[in-house]
Amino acid sequence: MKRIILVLVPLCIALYTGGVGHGAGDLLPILSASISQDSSNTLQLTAEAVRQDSLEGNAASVYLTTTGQTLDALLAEIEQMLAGQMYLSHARTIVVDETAAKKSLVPIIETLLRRSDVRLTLRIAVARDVPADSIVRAQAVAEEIPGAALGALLDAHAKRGSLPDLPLCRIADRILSGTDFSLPALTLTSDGRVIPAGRAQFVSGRLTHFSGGDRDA
Amino acid sequence: MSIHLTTDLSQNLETLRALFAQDDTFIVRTIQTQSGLRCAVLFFDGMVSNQAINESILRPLMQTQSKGLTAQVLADAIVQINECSLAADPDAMLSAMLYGDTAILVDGDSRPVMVNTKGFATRSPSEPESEKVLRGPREGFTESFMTNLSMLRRRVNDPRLTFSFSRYAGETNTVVCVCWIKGVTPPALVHEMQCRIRKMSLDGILDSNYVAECVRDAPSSPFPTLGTTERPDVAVSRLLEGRVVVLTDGSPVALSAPCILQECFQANDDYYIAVRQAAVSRTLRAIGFGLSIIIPALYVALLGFHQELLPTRLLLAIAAAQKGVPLPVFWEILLLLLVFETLKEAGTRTPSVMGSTMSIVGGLVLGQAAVSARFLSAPAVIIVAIAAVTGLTVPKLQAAGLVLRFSLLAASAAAGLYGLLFGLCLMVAHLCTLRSFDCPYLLNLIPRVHPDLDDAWLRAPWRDMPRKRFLAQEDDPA
Repeated sequence: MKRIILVLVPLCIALYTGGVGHGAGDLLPILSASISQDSSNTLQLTAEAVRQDSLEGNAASVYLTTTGQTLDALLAEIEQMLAGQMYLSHARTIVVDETAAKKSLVPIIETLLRRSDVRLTLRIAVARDVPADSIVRAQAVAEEIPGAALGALLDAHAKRGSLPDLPLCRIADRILSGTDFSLPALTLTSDGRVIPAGRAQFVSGRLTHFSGGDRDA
Repeated sequence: MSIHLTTDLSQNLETLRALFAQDDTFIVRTIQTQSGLRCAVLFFDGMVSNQAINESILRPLMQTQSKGLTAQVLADAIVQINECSLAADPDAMLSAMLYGDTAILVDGDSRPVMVNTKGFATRSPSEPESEKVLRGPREGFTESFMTNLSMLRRRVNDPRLTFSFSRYAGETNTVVCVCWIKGVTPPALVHEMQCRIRKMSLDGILDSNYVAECVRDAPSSPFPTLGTTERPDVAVSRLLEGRVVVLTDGSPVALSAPCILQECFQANDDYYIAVRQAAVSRTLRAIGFGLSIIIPALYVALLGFHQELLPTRLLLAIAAAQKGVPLPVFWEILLLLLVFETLKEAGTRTPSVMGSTMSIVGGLVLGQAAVSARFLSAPAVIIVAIAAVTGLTVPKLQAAGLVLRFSLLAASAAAGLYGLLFGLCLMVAHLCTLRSFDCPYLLNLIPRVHPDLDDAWLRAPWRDMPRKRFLAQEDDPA
């Protein structure tokens, strides 16, 4: 009897929980996002969700845009738009515009750090002279997924030392310690390609100025 | 079945005929010697060598002219065969007759003469299907008990090699033989094995597995705590390591004790091929076993609970493959594993001529059709196929692999990687508690035994590897 119970109890737990677990298609991965802010302090979030319908076809990006007062509210609203559950673990880049970088970077970082599905290796960049969502929506050169291409671009430049290597965990560390820091700045070429545009300098968690970079390169 | 024999031959024959009244194979041949003495030759048809009876028993008996013939004289001077003696009692006579010996009863003497005339058909030694080698001896044990013992004796030309018979008193009256080398095997181990065999309580023994299940430690553990082999060279190797080997009449499988985990990863080829090749093979076997039990569980854990650990492109590809599949990942893998086990079981029982057809239908057509019909996803089929193929690398742990594969799958379905790790921890804890004939199952891992390390996970070259006798007590011969 004891053996039967020892076998049956774990089996029942497994049968119950096995049917409850997620499938690969239940979660909708977000690869990149942009956050912009207008003069009335309203935030706009554009998230790039990726889905692939067949093994033969390519992955397709879907852009979801919403506006609100806080990032928490924006994320909750985006989640309501999706059929699956929004999943930020695969997000590699978040681009903020100049206004958001000046006014709301610290609350944005705090919100991201509160979520368990956000990786600490997430990179944050600042859009220079262009809307943040245009960076996220820009066509990739070698990758079919723009978000993946953007992440690869920032990683490559960070590795080469041409852009600051400051993922989310280090930004949080700088903000908590009150240290000044710089983030990568991105812009678009005339033909709509994303290129690095120097560094966005932050003092006390607020964007003060850009340095380096060539807008027309 | 107990009878009493007297000095009256007619009465004795009447008793025996009554005992085997409905057995048409029971043959009684009465003869009269030239001196007028009546004798009877009794045997079971089909169990004996007719030539031996005709030439070594009947002819000398009919030609003898000696008077006052007794059973002792008959055994000593008349019967011309290598093994002939007086039976200790009528029961011993019956047992021997039922095993192919011939009994001779003499009028005026109650003691039967037993003559070894065994002549039943046996299979010739051949290479065991389950333990094939690329190089090395190709001889395997057969169902013939004495042939098996001769194979051991031929390889160990040492007077210290000992065979101790125990006739198991069930319906089958099967002989079980405990073999060991005096001075190499600890006496306590031999004694323990003999005690456990004596304590068995079965109706009969038809195979060595009957004995194995009765004498092994931790009978409910999926891990084998008793070694098995069909190869005499392996059995001898274990004897030289200081273990006991048990042979059962009618079974080609020899048991050996104690058994340790590392033994399951060793193959006969390891000792007959180049060291480096053996090292690679043994490593692959260990990795293969690990993969076979972990891969399905890991897949379910990653997809169900830890998708962040998967690269984005891989996740997207799996998600694309799973589009339209009605089952959750856990059920998909569980179903596929069950189908695989069913196919394996069917393949084992299928005649070899139909085997290839079944492989094509079961493996290829069914798998391809299930994926095309969106009943299952291609990654799940790949995962189960990897688990299935790698699971075949360690045949001795197939039972353990089966139990662990399903248990870890259930654990990971319940709690993801935490469940999987918990299951693996339980497995290691269980392995730590296992003992085989008082020998730790993880010997050479916990605890490490220096003389045996040369052949623990990887084998050292023969020149650097003294014969390991991890249990030997040279000063205390059995």
